[in-house]
Amino acid sequence: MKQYRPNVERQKMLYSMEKSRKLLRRWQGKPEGPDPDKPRIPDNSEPWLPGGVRSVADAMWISDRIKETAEQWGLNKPRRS
Amino acid sequence: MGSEQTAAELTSQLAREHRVLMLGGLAVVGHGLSRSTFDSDVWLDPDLPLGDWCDAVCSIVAGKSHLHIVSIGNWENVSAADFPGVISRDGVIRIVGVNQPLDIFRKSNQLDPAEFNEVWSRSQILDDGTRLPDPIDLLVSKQETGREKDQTDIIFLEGKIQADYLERIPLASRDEAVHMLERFLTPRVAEAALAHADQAVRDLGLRFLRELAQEGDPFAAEILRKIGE
Repeated sequence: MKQYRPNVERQKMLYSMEKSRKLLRRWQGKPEGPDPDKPRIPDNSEPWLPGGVRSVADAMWISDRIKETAEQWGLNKPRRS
Repeated sequence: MGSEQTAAELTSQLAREHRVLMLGGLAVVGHGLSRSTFDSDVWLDPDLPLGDWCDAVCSIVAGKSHLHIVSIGNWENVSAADFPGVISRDGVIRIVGVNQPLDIFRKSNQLDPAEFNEVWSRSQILDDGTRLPDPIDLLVSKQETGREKDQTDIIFLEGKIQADYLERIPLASRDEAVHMLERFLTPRVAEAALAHADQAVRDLGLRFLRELAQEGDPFAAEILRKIGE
């Protein structure tokens, strides 16, 4: 049986990017992590389907909604700056 | 417009009179990551006085009985009288009754309200009058949330910004390069800075690599070894 093994280079890269973010925040005079005293806005994410995908039709429905949403918000068009 | 009105249309209506920035998953989609998102997050100008801010939100639901303002977390309806208190406490409210929940932020978790003008000035104009934050501002809004699911967005945005920086840094003027490095730095970007024509830019890159290497970063250490440090 093939076993999943994390890619070591990828783990190193993720570690490095996290280090970089923290060092830059220190340079900017900002805390490295979330401020424990600051009230947090609770997680506001919503699943597309409560209970998750149960069929191919569910997955296709989500895929169609993503496309539709991007169109409604104009996110699939070239933009001016 | 009736019940078929979309969250995008409501937001567009809000953006006709006020400054509105896209946030969250939608904004990441706007930067090119094809990811699933159901709720839509926008940041309405926090420079508006609290009463005006609440009035602006109420104006887009006025006369539409299928739309309701609810508070995040307990999902209870918010009356006009309670609205200022709820927004002062939570920093965000949700409009339900449209095709997607529309979350309107006054305060964001990571971006300070005082930073709104700066974030606005760097943002891209969208066709409907809303704006898409610069990828670094969006990255900042994601980086310290502590939510596992934001990691995919962070990795995508970092990759996109890094690729852009690797192209732009060598050609940037001294001031432009220093400004860029003050906003975003990785070992690869710092390595690119080492080849810049200006000493100040090279020094900044070197200082970053040295500090990172001291903290055990494997890539920074490798780059320093390559240049004989």
